[in-house]
Amino acid sequence: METPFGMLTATRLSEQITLFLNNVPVLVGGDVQNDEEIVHLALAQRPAAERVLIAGGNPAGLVPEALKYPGSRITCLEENRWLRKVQTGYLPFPDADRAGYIVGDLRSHLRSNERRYDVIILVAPEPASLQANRMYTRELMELAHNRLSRTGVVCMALPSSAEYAGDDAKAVRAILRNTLGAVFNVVEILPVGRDVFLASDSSIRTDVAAAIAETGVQTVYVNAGYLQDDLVAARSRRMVASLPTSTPINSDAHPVLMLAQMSYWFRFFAPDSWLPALVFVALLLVIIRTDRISFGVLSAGCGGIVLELLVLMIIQVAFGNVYKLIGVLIGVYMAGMSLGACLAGRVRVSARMYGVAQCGLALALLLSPLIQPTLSANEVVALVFLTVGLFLGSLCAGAIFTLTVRMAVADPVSRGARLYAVDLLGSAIGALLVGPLLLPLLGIEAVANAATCLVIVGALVTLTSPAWRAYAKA
Amino acid sequence: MRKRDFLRWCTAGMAGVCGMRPLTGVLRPEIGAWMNPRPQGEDLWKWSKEALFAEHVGDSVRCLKCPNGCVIPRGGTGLCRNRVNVRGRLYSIAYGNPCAVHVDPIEKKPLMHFLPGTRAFSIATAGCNLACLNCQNWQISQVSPKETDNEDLMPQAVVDECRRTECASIAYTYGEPITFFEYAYDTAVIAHSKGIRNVWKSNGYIEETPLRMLCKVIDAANIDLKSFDQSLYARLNAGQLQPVLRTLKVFHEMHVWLEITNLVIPGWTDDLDMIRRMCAWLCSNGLDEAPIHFSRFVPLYKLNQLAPTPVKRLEEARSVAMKEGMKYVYIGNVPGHAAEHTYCHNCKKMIVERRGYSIVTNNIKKGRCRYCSAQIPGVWA
Repeated sequence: METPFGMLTATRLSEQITLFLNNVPVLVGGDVQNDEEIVHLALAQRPAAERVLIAGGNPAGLVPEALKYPGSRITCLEENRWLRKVQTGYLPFPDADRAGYIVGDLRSHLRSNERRYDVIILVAPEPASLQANRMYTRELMELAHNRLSRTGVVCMALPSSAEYAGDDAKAVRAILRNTLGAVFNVVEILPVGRDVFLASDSSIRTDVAAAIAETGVQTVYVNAGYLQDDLVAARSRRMVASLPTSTPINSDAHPVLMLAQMSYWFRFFAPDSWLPALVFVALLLVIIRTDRISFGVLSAGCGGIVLELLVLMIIQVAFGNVYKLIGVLIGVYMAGMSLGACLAGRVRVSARMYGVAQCGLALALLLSPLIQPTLSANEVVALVFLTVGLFLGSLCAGAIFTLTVRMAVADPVSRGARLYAVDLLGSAIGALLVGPLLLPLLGIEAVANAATCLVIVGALVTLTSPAWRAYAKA
Repeated sequence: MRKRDFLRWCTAGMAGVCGMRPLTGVLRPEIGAWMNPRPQGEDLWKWSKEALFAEHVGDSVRCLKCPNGCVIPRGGTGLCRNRVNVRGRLYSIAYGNPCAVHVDPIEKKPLMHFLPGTRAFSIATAGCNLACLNCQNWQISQVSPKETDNEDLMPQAVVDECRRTECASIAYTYGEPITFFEYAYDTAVIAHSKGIRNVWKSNGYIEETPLRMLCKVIDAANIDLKSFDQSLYARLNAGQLQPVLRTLKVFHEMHVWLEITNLVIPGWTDDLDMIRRMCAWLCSNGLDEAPIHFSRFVPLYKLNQLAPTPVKRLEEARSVAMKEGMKYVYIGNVPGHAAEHTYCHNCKKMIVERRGYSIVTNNIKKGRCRYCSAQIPGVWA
């Protein structure tokens, strides 16, 4: 099934049901080990928990485990309604008075729900995308913290680092540990089947097998038979001691965890590092060989696409997905380009007009990160500002192109073709560099500032060129 | 060059340098390596020892430890990343520098018929002579010891730590101990003299001469028989089947306690006919009493797009193995499964009840079934 979140596939191999999202298994029926681990390591900390929130995961496996704790009311939340629909068909949810199921965005739920939870369990894919990274940011942890009881616990897990964590794996774990540590007083990492992170303002037990035994809850895997507390504690101490203490905090505006995860993933394949260096050198050569007039268009093309990417990312982070708005945003962007190009054909070409267009684009870039914090306060107003800013920025980008072409009176046809190519090249460079690399590396604000500088430099390079002066004289 | 061109080039250069700053943060290790390449063997570090099993081929050295048979030029490194040619001599750079040091229940190796209920002091250095697509420990197996954070633990210190942690055995495991052969062997010799057992968890991809030398100090081994098909061994593991089969026969011949692990991977090694042929071969080579563990695959490393093995498939594999004559067949990585207990091959009663890695009841008395007195193969004390 094609969904806005990706291709969703359900398979049956023998008796086992597996759900794949974009060809990666996300849910496995009957996965006792993983289901028990994430639920019992959390609930054994607060066995008298009255309210439990489980975000993500397979309710068919998780809820029966959580229901073993008498008195707990379980709320299961899933953001992907298509996944929930498929789950219902293949991995049906247990029908229990104490369990409820909702579909919606986790952040919206935490903001709008006044009641407090005793345990929040976050089951998320690895933070390999901006969407997944949302589940690991300080902003989400702060929201969770505000919705927890005084002794509440948050629990989440990463795939096991097995017997040794390399530098990239350590970076991922350190960033997550420090991000949790920025919000909660106590953070523990338990390397069991997976690396389980527990965070609370109150104490956390690391002797989980003993804690579970004390509750009297029966488990297949999470017990002293498989988890020997002294050995788990030794592994935990070793892992924590090996993690770097000083790392950036993962946030919505600066998704460093996503970059660390991507770096870890690249290790699987040990790609040759000469390739990105070669691409960078090639891009530099292209930029150097661009004449001064074209450079202004290249920088505007780059700035325009960066503005679009920033707006998309801000909305992705705020709402968890962009599929509802992506058509509108792309349409607004194109409409702005079109209108700007059209209007620039009717005005007198001058350095001032050109400068205004470049400054308009630069201003849109500079102001875009400022909208992000207001999204949580008033979504509608912030969205309107974002859309208007995107429209005005793209209008300026479109105008820059037309103004530049009109200035090339000597050879408008070939100049027009060349400028069009350069404009698209600038967009390509912006998209390739900013999306996968610079945004997670530098964060939204730094990227916006860098793009602003690029646009202004492009304007200055063009306006101080002999061609402009010759045109002005003519 | 005109002044303006000069200024343009300078500006572009400065922009390049500024732009490279964030990128070097990502690429620094690679750039550093490119600008300052590692000595590649011309300098030995503290954790080196002249390698056993090598022969000169001109200025190069052929390593004779495993079937890869790497011919290593001067300054070069073998496929396992642990052998280097320094001035025409072969050295191991994985000696006394384990990157993974843990204490594990012996059942985790898995070894079900060897000192049950005890703990193994487990060590590994980086490196491996295979390249399995589903490697669980790829972060240490597919790198060199020079790329990992290592401890300083020479052989005597390993034995001391084993005693301090009250472990009954030392396990050479996680990565691939064949690649740190000299370190493992020297440690095993000391341990052997102190009454500490030695356990070898390996892919079995080793030449016969070093293997026979090893068998004199190793007490138990768990060998991964990854499949029973040569082309699969090449595609999935970058290895060969026959050397591993030879290893099994040598362990058996040298009376080293042997258990076998077969990871059942959907779409790769879950063919029941292949499993049947594998078990038929084991039985026909006197290995019917060697416990075999059919282990459940979980998505990992380069095979993270596959589903886990269905439990039923593992049960079918177990059934096939027992029909072919294998006496002790276990299912691994399936918590709570009945096939993690031990059943007498004669009277079929449960003689060792387990809960995970812990023994709940043990009905083996002096190596015999309590119910029918049949000899139960294994090392029970």
